[in-house]
Amino acid sequence: MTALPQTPAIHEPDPVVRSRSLILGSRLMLGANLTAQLSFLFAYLYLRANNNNGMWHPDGVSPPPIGLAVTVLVLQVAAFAIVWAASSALNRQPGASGFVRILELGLIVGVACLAFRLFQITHLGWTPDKGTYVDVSILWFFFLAAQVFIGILWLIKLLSGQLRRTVPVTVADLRSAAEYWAFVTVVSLGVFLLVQYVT
Amino acid sequence: MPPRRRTLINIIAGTWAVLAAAGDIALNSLPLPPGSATDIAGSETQVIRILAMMAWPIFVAVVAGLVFTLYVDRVAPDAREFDAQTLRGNSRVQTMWIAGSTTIVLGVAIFGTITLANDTTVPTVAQAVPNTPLEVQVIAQQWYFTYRYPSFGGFESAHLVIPSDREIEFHVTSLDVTHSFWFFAAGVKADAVPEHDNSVDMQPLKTGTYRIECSELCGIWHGSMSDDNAQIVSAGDFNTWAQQQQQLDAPIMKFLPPYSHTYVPAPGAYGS
Amino acid sequence: MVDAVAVSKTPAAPRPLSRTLHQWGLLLGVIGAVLGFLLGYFLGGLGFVDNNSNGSNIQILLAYSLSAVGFLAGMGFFNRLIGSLLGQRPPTLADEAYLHGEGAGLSRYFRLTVDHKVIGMQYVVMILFFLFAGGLGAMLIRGELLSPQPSYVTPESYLTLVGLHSVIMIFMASAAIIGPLGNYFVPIMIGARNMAFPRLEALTFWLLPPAGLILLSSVFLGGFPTGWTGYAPLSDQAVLGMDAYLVAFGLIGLSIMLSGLNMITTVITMRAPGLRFTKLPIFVWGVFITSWLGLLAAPVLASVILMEVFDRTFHATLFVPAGGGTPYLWQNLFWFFGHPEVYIFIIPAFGLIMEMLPVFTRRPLWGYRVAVGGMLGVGVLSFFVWQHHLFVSGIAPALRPFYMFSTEAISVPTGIIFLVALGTLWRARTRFTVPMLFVGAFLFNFLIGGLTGVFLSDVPADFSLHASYFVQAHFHYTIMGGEVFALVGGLTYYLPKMTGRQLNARAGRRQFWVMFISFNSTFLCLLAVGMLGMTRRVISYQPELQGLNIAASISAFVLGASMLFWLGMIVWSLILRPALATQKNPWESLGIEWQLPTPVPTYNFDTVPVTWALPYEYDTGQPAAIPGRTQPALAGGTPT
Repeated sequence: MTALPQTPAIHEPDPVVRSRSLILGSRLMLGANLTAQLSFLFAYLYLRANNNNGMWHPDGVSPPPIGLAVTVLVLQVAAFAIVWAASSALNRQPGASGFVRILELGLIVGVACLAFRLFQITHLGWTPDKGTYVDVSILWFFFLAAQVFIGILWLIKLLSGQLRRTVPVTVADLRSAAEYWAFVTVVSLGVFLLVQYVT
Repeated sequence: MPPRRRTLINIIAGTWAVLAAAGDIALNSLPLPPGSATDIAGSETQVIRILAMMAWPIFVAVVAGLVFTLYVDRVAPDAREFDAQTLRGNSRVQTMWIAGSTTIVLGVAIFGTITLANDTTVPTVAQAVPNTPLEVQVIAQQWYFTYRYPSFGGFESAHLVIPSDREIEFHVTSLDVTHSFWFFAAGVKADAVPEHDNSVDMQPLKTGTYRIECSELCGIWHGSMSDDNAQIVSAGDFNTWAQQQQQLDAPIMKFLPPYSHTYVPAPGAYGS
Repeated sequence: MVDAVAVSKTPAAPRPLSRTLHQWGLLLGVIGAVLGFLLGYFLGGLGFVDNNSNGSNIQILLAYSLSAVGFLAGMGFFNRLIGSLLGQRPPTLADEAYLHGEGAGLSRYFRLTVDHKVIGMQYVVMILFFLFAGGLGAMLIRGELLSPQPSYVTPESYLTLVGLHSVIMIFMASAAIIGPLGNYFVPIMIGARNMAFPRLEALTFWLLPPAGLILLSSVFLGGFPTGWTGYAPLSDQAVLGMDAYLVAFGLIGLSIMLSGLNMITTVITMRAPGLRFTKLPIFVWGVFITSWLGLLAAPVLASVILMEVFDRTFHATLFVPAGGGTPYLWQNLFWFFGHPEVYIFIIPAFGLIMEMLPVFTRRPLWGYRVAVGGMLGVGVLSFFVWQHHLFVSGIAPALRPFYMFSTEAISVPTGIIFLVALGTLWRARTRFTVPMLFVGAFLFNFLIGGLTGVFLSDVPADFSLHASYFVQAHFHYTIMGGEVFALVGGLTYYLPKMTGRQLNARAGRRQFWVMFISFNSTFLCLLAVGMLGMTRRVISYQPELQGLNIAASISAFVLGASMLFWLGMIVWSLILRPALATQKNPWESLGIEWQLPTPVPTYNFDTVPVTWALPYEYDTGQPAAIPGRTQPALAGGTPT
């Protein structure tokens, strides 16, 4: 009935819609991330309440050394704060590149955070047979380290595109990354408090 | 509305009334599971009966409505008639439907809660000889049940034997994976979870021989983890049997772990 | 905010290497899978002792995971990701057109193609494969259950058979309607040219073949003994086949989550200007609401699978009481996912049924807003009922009344769907096409399914009925009687638009009646058998129940035959002797998808319509929108 052209049409997506999709999509992923974190929280509190055979936190198991734990947390918060600052800088002056240096610093701090996390995980002296506090906490630490790793990849992607002038960073892109880092940081803070003090 | 349609509606409504009534009368006297061998079985049967008597008229009504609208008003698949009256959303009907279904649901839920509360507290069945409940432990493992009687020295038995004159308090636990103790005729189902004591009470009302099955998938021989020789016997028979078993088992009691509500098998039993 | 559409011919430049590699993506994917498997096996063998009775968990887990990664890498899913990490230029418009399958012919179905319509067709094939593979398992199970003692299947293989049947059907059901029909039609119904994240959508499809193969391969590793629910600590004990289940289910969970993400974003950001939520077709609402469930529930599955992998592979004790864990942790987390999962099955079916009803009753959906509210109520409540699976488990007995209330409360919004259906049917001049037959069957079957659910939600009744064949018949009535019947009807309805070919109506009617009657006779027998005390997942049962089991099995064989006949109809009418649809809109639907030509052009619309109406105005004959027009007019005019 309606005669449409038979030749193929090339379609250029609307950039405004794309950036809205990106922000919404990354927020939705944070929602999914939230339910995953809540499962770990549930596991932690439930196993602690059950304390079957007294094996939640048997003797000989100590919380992670506080110095290292605080270092990891401080680096995490710093990385997030720097990324957030970069996002605000770009927000104030879209199109300018003042944020690039800030973002590079954020990347470095983020990598340092990941390095300290891995160091912490491998130097806890925990083994899986030492009770469920150890089991849940170590699994959660690995999960968070993976999330920080993804955050680092995200920053690398933004910086690569920007520095090679192929994909300039948009306000939406950086804002989504900053929100992601905010989420991981809040979860890290919660995990820190739980694992150190709610044993 | 045209007279033929009104007649059809009356016929369908009449058919509904007859079918609903006939079904409910049948359901009222049909022997429904799980039966009446124990007090909670009787209560569960009653609940199932009442739910069935409520569900049946609803089922018949919806099916009658569907048959009526689909069949009576149908046209050939390739017909070209557009004279269907448009029925706009009628908020009065919608409200009544939602209010009605909510009321029914609330009623069923309240009824279920009351029944549950009654079933899980010690009943005041007058016919019971006022003894303390008989504690029977059900120990599940791959792939059989063992029954332990703490008030008779903690002897173990491969088959369940219980008296019909007093409250029975089952304590169900497992030694390895999750099983489930299902005493169908007694209306008792309780999951057997390692290091957890799952307690269910019931008062037998009849004697007989019944079936017990495991109803939680527990490995290869889950299907064979059943016993057709569970017995509810009279008080006298039970006492005789229990004392006999206690005497027979006395020499080996020192090899059995002391009675407790949960058991922790020796290390090395898991995941090797 | 109208997007620019440039019309040009495909570039005639020589094909670059990347395109050739892309065209051979499936072969490269298989090679990548094999290489990934070997790499994982090798890595897992470094320094880890054999920690399972038939091999090393870590080897199998790494082998499977890396083979899935290798497969996706070979297909080309990491190209853009790695490219963006290296700062390469983004794909050009020509690249994107190529990825959409421009000028590619049939080969675009066998490689990474981001056209949502291609993905929809790919899903059709995958869903049918899972349906019939699972169905074969069902026939073998029913054959075995003809006898109350083990006959031709050993007890160990029986459990794996049951597990495979159930997991394959779960995989199928989780995407049966959203996969083929959601992917194909949601962008069209909202006036979009594709989904918000096209590559992601292709990924949700291409996760399925590896997941299915990994799951089926568990047979070679000794199978798995837990059924689809994977209860720990039985799963801790199990041999290596359990790891196949864990990896496969993890991949499916990822697919569900990403599909949910994509659908939500697409419906929110990519609707045509002028299309408000209050004018969305009810099918889109169904998919939209379901997607929230998928997005939020699947991560919990992923977490609990991770915990189980940790338990099995590293001997953690998260589910083992001797080490501080508890089986209840698995049960709670699994069912927190598991219950929304079954609503992921059925809510799209509600949407699909209500989408087809107006077409065959020739009148608007009666109570559109109430229907949306009903589906929304079901979706929200589905997160608050999961402990009804744990009524007899021994935990939290005091919470049981709450979950009894919440579970029974779900029947109110579900009832609303019936209300809307009945209202739409009342005094309608219903056209009894084959899809309409399936709509009617859906309503009948789901009525029984829903009513039996009320029995199960009542705790005292559940003491008798839990874990028996009553439960099994209940969920087969809702999932098969509901979703699968809706799927068959929906495919019959939409295949003319997707392929331009129609199924034979007379054969369809006959197939329908055999399927409907045999389905009901099978599962009514199983309802009875369950009430009489037969447990689920058992290879041997009480001899006095053999009669009912034989009746159920024979009916099941007839049902299986009717499904095979339907498959034969599809192969015959679509492939062997294509029966061309006589018109582009054979059902005379007012939906916008039916106003487009067949086959639907790559970018769906020439000009996206800006004036939209609900596609149910059968009294005026006003379609939802006219593609190519910017103002409403009667169908048949020339585009402006």
